[in-house]
Amino acid sequence: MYIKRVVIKGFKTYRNQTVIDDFSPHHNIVIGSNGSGKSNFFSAIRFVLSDDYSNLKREERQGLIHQGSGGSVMSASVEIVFHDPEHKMILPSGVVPRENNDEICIRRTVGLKKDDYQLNDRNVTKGDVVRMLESTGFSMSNPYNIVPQGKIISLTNAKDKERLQLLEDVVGAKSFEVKLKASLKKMEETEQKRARIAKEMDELNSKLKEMEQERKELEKYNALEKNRKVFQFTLYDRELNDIINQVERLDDDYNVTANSSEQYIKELDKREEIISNISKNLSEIDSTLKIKTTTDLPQAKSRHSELTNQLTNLQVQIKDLKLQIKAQERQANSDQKTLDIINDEIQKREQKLSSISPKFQELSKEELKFKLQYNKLQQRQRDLLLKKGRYARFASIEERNEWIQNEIEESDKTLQGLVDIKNKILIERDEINSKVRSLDEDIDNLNDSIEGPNVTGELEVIQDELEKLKSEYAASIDKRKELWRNEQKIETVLQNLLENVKVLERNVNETMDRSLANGIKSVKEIATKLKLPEDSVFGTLGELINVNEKYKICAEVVGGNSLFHIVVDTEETATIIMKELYKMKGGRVTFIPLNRIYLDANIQYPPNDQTSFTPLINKIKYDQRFDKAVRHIFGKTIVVKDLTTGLRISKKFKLNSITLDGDRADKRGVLTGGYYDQYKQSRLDSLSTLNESTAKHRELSLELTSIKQAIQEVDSNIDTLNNSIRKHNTNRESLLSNIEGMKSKLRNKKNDKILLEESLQALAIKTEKNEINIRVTADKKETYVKDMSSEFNSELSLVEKEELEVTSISLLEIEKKLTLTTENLETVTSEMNSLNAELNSKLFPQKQDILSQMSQEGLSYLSSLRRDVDSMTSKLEAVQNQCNSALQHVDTIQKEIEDLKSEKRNNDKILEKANSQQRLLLKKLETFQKDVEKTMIKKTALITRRDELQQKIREIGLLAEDALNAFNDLSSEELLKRLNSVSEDISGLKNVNKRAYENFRKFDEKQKELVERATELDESKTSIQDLITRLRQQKVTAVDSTFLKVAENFETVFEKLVPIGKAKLIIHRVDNNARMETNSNDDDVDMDQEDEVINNNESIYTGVSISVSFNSKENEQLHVEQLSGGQKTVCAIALILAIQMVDPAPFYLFDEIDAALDKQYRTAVANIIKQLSVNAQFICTTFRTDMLQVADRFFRVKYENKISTVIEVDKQDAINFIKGNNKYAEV
Amino acid sequence: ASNNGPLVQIWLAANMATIPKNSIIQTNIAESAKEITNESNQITLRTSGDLLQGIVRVYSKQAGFLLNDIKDTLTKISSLFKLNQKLNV
Ligand SMILES: Nc1ncnc2c1ncn2[C@@H]1O[C@H](COP(=O)(O)OP(=O)(O)OP(=O)(O)O)[C@@H](O)[C@H]1O
Ligand SMILES: [Mg+2]
Repeated sequence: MYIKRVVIKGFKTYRNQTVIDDFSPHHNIVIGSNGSGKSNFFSAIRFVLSDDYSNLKREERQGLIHQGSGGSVMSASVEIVFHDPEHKMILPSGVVPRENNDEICIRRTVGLKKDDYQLNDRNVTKGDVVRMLESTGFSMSNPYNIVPQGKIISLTNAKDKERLQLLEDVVGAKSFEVKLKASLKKMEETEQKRARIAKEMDELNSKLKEMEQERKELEKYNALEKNRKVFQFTLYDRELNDIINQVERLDDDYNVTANSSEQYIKELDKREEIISNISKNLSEIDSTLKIKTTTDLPQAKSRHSELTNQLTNLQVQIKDLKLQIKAQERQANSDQKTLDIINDEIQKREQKLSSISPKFQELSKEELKFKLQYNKLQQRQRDLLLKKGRYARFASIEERNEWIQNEIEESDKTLQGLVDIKNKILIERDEINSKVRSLDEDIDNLNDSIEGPNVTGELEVIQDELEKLKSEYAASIDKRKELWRNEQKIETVLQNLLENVKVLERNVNETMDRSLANGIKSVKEIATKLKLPEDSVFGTLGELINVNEKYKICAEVVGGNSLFHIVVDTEETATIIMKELYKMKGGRVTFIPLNRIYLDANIQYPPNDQTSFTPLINKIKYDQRFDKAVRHIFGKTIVVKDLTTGLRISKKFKLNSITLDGDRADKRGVLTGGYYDQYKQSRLDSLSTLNESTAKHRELSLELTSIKQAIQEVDSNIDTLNNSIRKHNTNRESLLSNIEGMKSKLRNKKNDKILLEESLQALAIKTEKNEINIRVTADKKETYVKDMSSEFNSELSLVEKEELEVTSISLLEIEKKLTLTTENLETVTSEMNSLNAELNSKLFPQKQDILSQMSQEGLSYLSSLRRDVDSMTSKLEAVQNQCNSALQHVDTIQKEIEDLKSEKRNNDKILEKANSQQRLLLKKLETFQKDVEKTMIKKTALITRRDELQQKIREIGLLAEDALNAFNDLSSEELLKRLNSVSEDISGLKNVNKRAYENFRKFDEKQKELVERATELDESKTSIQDLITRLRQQKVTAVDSTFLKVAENFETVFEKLVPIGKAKLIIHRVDNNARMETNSNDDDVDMDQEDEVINNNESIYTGVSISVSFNSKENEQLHVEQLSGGQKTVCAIALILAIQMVDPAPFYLFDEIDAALDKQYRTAVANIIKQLSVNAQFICTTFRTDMLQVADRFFRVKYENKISTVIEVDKQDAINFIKGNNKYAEV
Repeated sequence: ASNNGPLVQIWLAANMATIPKNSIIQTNIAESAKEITNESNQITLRTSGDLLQGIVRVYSKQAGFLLNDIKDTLTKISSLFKLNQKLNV
């Protein structure tokens, strides 16, 4: 440790801040002319490090603070920076050492009023600085290592006493003395304290004695108490024992009941199981029953009722068909009969007619003839009349001729008309004939078309077609109904399934959070919406794997949320879906793209033989495509029997291990476990069930759609059938209508024919008449012509008149005949007419009707009816057996329902029985329960009693073993009596301080402890006194030993300084009779001073003297007073250096110690300093070059206008400076 | 300076302004005195003077603490007595 830097400001001549830096740890020289400030520099250091400048007065402060130029300096501060790598200086608490370098800087600033110290820039007290410096062995009071200017001289002529003082300083005796004094003072103080302690102790003892009494009292009390306790104890003990064995007895029968109830419980569980699966299948039955009753039965019933009423109306139809048929047959028969009758009538009439007809013919001929004749005659007559008449009117022939002419023209016209008519008639007749012929043709083909084979065939075909269609139609109707029923059934089932799916979905959603749930749902939607290819989105991982039942929980725990990750083939699909999800804000999902999954292939499972475990991955069945994803999640886990092995394995092989019931040990050693709620729907199950039900639902919906399609098909089919039926019907209708049409046409044709024939007849008649007319008009015309040519004779010629008469007579006659024949004819015609009328009007139409009816209800109709009937019957049968089957179906369903009901009933019965047994069991269990409870209650009572007793016994506390069974033999009553007596005695003792015992014990202990500490103090007092005497003695010895050392060093140093001379240190003791000549080699200081009374601290030495000879070794021991100044300085220097070797100070300041020495000694001193400067720092001022030769660092103090400054110079400059103004010649 | 193990307490006591109570109670003065005596020839007189001062200081403190403790127990006992009187009456 050495001084590294000194900063002075405002101190004496150092007005400005002067920094003297990096002193050498070895030898430094400060040079400068007189009054330049060298000593000031030294006094600055002393100002900080020594007591010289303590409690300064005003003048002294002024002396220190720089006066002179400007006078503005108000304070002086000196800072010394020590370099202390070994941290010898122990900083007082609170001072922070400088971080990077091992510097400790001590600063003292003094102003007119201020005087404070700072350690590393923190204000500290002077005491701190003193203590710190002392800790490094550097005493501030009388620092021998600082030799200010002129001190060396004082040293030289110091008295023996002062030298002893110096020695003791070195030894630290003085400070020791001070400390000793202080300690002794302290000891006295503590003595007084101890006296007070003693007093207090006595008081304490008295208090304790009082407690003692109380204690005795207590002891007495305790003794009694003990007895009482013993009695109590024994009593309690006895009671306790019998309670214990009572409890045991209870336990036994509890066990008995317990294990009997055990089987019952087992039984109960079994029953429970039975009940549960009974109720399960009961619920199944219920559900099926419900389905059946709600859907099947009504369906069946409705079907049945439908069929029945179909049946009934079929029957009705059949009946009325039958009726119809019968009616028809009857009708037919009656028709037939009527037909026969009519035929007979017709025949009769025809016969009659035929019989009459020739007569009629004849008569009609006659009549015709007559008529002709009549007409002719009449004509004639008329002509005649006419002529007669006609001509009468004309006055003249011209008129007549004109009239006749007119008449002729007219008659020509009429004739022409008539001829036209005749032609027309002819044409008409031809027409009619042709018509008739065409009609005949039409009639023919109509006939064959009506009755023709192809028509009937067609009809047949159509009929069959119709039949077929009808049946088909019926069949398809049935089918549709059937399909409807199925549809309805499936819809209901679908309904259930949908609910089921929803429930399951809710379950699944429960096992995961909401955003994930709707995330998954929306992914599905997106997949369908975007029609992603089937093998791109595989759905959640949970769905894709199925786990062995035993390992389901492990998979569940390990999987955790990753079970809901969606497995996709590539990351593109994932991104697409994610974008979509984002767009539709469909929640958050994590994807596992199969192509991107990274699998650390090096999962190596520990060798199987070592421990029993199974890698979880083996227990999971999955499609090979998902191998990577599943391995990614489950690859690293193994299933172990228990956690400890699991932990070991997982640590060693960097795997996760999991036990069967879900406790996990992570590869990093983390353990998770605890209760895993198996009953809560586990994720896997819920996922798989959801999957199943959705699959079923999808399947069913497919089926439903297929059924719907089928229904549509059937509908369309039915429609087509309908259409075709309708078509066929229409065909048939059309055919029939055709036929009808044809028939009517036929009839029309026939009628036409008849009409035509009649018109032919009429034509014929007309032609006849026309002929007649023609003829008549011709006659008339002839007559006219004739008349014209005849004169105008208004009169009738005679011939004509006769003719007239004859004609009128023949007319009459003919008229009569005519009338007669007409009458006959009338009668005949009337007869014939009546017959004809009858025939035609009645019979024929009737016949016709009947025929038509017959033909209408003809065979075909009848056959159709029959066929209808047959079809009806067949349909009836079909319907019948359908009905039967429906009935059966209904029956079966009812039967099913019945047996379901019966099953339900017997299930109920079984359940009932089971329940009843259950109840029985329960009752039994209850009884067990009850008596278990009873026993338990008793037991608890006993137990509480037992605990009480135990508690009491514990309260009673520990008792001596012998006391325990002292009174065993006594009976309980005796004990009780004793107990009472003792407790009475106890109550006698009043106000016993129960706690006296503890109190006493506590305070006794306390008192002991205090006494102990007091004794300890005594001990320590004595030990301290010993120590003091020891130290005092040690001081002596220390002084002796240091003296010896110093003396020794003194000699060696002196030897070096004065090779030819010799010097010795002598120490003088006080008043011991024999002055012991202590020379350096006599070291066994006798210790007989122990009896030395510790008198006042006056030391036992008087002084230290030096005897020295400069020029010879043996004789001539001169006392130091007799020496010269230089020789004295040499001794002084030798002494200081000797002391330095004994108690090395960190640094030495010598201010011009070599002033008084001659060359020879100066060099010697320089050399010694050189040697010592290796491990001690020397700062010297000199005016001689000797020191410079050996020094390391040189500082020059300059002094200009009252301010001194310090600059570092090298060796040569320093030497030149010294040579330059060295006033003394080199000696 | 020689502040090896056991004497550190004492040295600290000497040099530091405040000394923690429990260190005072723990130091066994007899032992430390013995320790100092057989260390004495190694350590300089000055430090042994320090140590002496330290020991004495500890000693006086111990005495002071003992005094206080006695006083405490006395007060406790007396209060207890008062309490008992009250209790039994
Ligand atoms: N308080 C002060 N203010 C101003 N100057 C002062 C003060 N105290 C002393 N001085 C000056 O310092 C000078 C003395 O300095 P110092 O004793 O350091 O000289 P030196 O270099 O030791 O000389 P020598 O070589 O004779 O020992 C005197 O001239 C004195 O005027
Ligand atoms: Mg000087």
